Amino acid sequence: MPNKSRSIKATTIVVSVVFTISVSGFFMGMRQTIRETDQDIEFTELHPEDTHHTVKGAVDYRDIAQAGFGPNAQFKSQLSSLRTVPTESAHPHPLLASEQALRIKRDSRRAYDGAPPIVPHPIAQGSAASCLQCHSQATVIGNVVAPAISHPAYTSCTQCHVSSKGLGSRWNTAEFDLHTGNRFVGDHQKKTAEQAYPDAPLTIPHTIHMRQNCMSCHGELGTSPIRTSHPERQSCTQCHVPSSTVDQRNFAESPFPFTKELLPGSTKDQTDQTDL
Amino acid sequence: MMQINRRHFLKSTALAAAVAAAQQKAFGKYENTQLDQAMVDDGVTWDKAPCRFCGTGCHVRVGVKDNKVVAIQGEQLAEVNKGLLCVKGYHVGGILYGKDRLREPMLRKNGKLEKITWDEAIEVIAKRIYDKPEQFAIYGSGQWTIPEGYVAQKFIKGGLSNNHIDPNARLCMASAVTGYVSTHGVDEPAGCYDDLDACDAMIMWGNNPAEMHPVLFSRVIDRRNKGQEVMLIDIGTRRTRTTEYSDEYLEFRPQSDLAIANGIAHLLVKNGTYDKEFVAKFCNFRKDTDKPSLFGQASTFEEYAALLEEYTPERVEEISGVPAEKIRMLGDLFGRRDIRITSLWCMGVNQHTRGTNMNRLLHGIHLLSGHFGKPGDAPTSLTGQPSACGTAREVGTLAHALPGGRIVAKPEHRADCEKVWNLPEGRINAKPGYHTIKMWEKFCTATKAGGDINTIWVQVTNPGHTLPHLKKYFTAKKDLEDKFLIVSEVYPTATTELADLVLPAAMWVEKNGIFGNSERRTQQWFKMVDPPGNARDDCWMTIAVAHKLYEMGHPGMKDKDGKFIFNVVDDSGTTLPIWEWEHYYDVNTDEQLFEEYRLLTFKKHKDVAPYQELVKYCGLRWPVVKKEDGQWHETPFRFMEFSDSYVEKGKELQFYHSVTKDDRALIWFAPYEPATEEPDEDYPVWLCTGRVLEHWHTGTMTRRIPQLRNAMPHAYVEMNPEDAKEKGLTNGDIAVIETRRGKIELPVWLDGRGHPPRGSIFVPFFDENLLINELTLGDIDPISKQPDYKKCAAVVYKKGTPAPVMTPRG
Repeated sequence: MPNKSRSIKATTIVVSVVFTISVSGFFMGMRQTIRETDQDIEFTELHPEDTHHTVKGAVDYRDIAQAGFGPNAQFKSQLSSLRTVPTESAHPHPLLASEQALRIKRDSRRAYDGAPPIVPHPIAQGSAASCLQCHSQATVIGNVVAPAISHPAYTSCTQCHVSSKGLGSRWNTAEFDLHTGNRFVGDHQKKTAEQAYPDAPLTIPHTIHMRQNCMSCHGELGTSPIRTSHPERQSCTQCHVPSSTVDQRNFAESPFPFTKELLPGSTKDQTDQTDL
Repeated sequence: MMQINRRHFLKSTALAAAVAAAQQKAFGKYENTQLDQAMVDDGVTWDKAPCRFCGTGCHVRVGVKDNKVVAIQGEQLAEVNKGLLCVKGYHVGGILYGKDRLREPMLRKNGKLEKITWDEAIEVIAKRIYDKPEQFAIYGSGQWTIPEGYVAQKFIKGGLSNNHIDPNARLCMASAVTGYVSTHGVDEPAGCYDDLDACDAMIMWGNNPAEMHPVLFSRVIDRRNKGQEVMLIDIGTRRTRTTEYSDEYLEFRPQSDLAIANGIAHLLVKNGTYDKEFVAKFCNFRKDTDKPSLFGQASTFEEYAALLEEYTPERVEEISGVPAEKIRMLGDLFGRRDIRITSLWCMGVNQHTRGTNMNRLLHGIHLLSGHFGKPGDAPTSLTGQPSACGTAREVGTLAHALPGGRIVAKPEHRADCEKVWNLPEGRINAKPGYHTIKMWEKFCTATKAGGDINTIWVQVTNPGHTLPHLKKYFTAKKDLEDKFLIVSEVYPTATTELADLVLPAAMWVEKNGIFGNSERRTQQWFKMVDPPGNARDDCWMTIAVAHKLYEMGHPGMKDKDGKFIFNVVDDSGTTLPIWEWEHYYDVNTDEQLFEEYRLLTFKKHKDVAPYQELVKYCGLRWPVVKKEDGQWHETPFRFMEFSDSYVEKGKELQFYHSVTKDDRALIWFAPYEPATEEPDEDYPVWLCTGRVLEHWHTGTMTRRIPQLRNAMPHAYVEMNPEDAKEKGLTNGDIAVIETRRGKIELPVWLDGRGHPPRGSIFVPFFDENLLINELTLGDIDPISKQPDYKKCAAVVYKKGTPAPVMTPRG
């Protein structure tokens, strides 16, 4: 029995020594070697002509933990920090910009009310994969707001939305006459919402085709000067209904009989006029 | 099951859409009682029309206010597009309002176009035709409305006994036509767009539907959003936007699509995975005669299999560059019975010196593998023009054809037309006229050198931009005397540059019209706004000239009873003087012409619906038949018993116009043959031409719309970045491209929308300032006579550097 206890003790010591060596060796190996720390890596100076969206130079390995993640000053690593209201240096809060100015901006991107808006920035021409990176939710990027798309995403965004910054600006070759002199004047609806009585929910004064996501325009980061006073309520069309004079959609799906059958005097008309 | 859905839809549509009033006049309204109430908003009225652009045939709703188009909406009731459009469709309202819209007729005097009156213009044309009627030709269009094509057809073939009428569709669809006719015995697809909703795999053969048929492509890829699985295979010569959405991309060497199709057929035979039962019941085999012909000669399965022996996957890899394992993948796919496969193709297959053969092979692999005859199993050729099917193919405005699938060569076909048109026997000429390339070749050849076409009337198309090898087939006209070019147009174009007489035309919703799209859907619309200045309907122009000739005593303008061949009457039967513009809209001339044309559509079971039915719906797919319930029903799937009421009971699948007259379709063998001009030492690069999303055809309409112009302002050349690097070219640099026929300078675009492989370049053709057709090849398919715009040999070098030295020729 004395042999066994000694051998157990020896084994325990050997194992713990091996363990300690390997663990400390592991951690020591992670540190930089002397030779590496001796070398100073030169960072090339960034040119002053670069825009403020510069790419920061790569940091030293040992400084990574403190360096913060991201390529430029505007980059935020936390999703929550993206959702701030634009700062004072940015464009004034949309509610403060005049309704007129907003409407002009909005109409300038659309051939007529209801047309798919032109994309006001250059896009990747080969693939539409990156559109939703910024537009699936409203995103603040620097001074601009990329609005959320107002309709459920189709797959091929560039089928309907083309860029106004097409090839001309991309290559900056000759001055192309981009003004065609076309005399088409699109219909821009100036209708205001109807209200049955003060404080009644407003009817929707525009078509809702392709505008299923109301918050795209009327939410916190929306593009419309009209903001909902109650963003917490999600079922908008429960109270706000489209107007049949602008939205011709509903007659198609309605199994309703012809209205003339309900006209006063017809045999189907059940209304007792004296009750009114 | 399909039938019930169709009936239900039609019923609810009929409920929702009121029938046009009994007092239907020159132009009515798509009347809907509830829509009527809606019309008062801001004074904007809405009416339906098919889109003016591509062959998809989306339906739009046009908002009109104060006699101007002010808004467009995708028609949500339309089966084709269900409320969705593409960027061109959304901006189609703007096509009417370019600032340089043609407003007055103009005659070239001393090199300059000067304004004249309409009466003068009509007289000039009539005199020209009266002098030499056999040297007159009409170059028409797949953008012609059905009545426009019909009057031109009747005028020249039935009036002047002259068969020199051919459409621009010769340059895009002719090979599809010969492919269908040699397979089914009759033109046009058996399936429809419903196939896109039902297929499990979709194979695109050399086309780019993400840009060219975007709404149809969306219809397929958006199925993935609903959780459905669709496999997309892009077989192409360069990467495009379509490739981004595809599961597989098979890059092939131009022209070798023939080998790939044969490779699939080879595997189906070798592995025994072809559908033996289907082939035994419904197919015969065929091969070409020594001199290529439309119907070839009979063959057998054994011969077919023997001819396919050499197309092993390894051999196909050698020819095409597509890996053998991918060929096997395709062979396995077609060998499966549990999935539905749709093949989609357009210009890549049709604009091909062996286009007829390629079409035949695609039909062949679907028939051989039994992937035919069920929704989703479809070889589907798509068209590019709004009415290439409706007008050019169905009305038969081709040099050899007559309405309703007939041909001038057959006496009984001529007799049918002479009967409906009430013409004396023998009026229609039995000799086919000149097809497009021949027509323009003759026009551009001096009369004393055998150029026996001296007058061409171009309507609704732009040959000065779209003919291949422009110098030979168009601009050569400039130096020839006594060649007269009449152009009915809406804007100044490359064609009006050389025109001797320019006639301002009404466009799209400025006139009544009817189009027919790629899925056999005939769609009608009413005039909604007035044309500008003195622009008038093309249909009226042809009738006015015909009447002028009638007044001059030309016998051809009279029918058997001495009446004018275009006799349009009012309700009491009195002839109306519609050749006078003031009276043209006294009645709906479109309706009367269409009802006359309709009588000719029954023989080959291409029955179109009565005009008043078309008014009610967003198009109807022919054959439209009246069933026991007294209602008109369209036919989504032809030759298939479950859908086509012309199929005899119990036949399941019946090709009732079969070439071999036994209700069977033909499976053709066709060999791989090299292109007529392949890259060589002097011209080492493949030049391919094509389109972009934003511009339709020659951009005469779309480049005048600011949103579309800004998105794609000018043409460019795509090339492989490594090739560019070798030549010292980068993005934005100007490259010189040369072929044996011409030279052009274009800015380079690398890694943009398309990614050509090494040794090939791509140039879009929409830009009238950068006419790539000066460089393209005029070689044609021997059967369809369609030119190949997709392949020729070119050399590229940087502007400013010396041109590469050509090998001296002894």
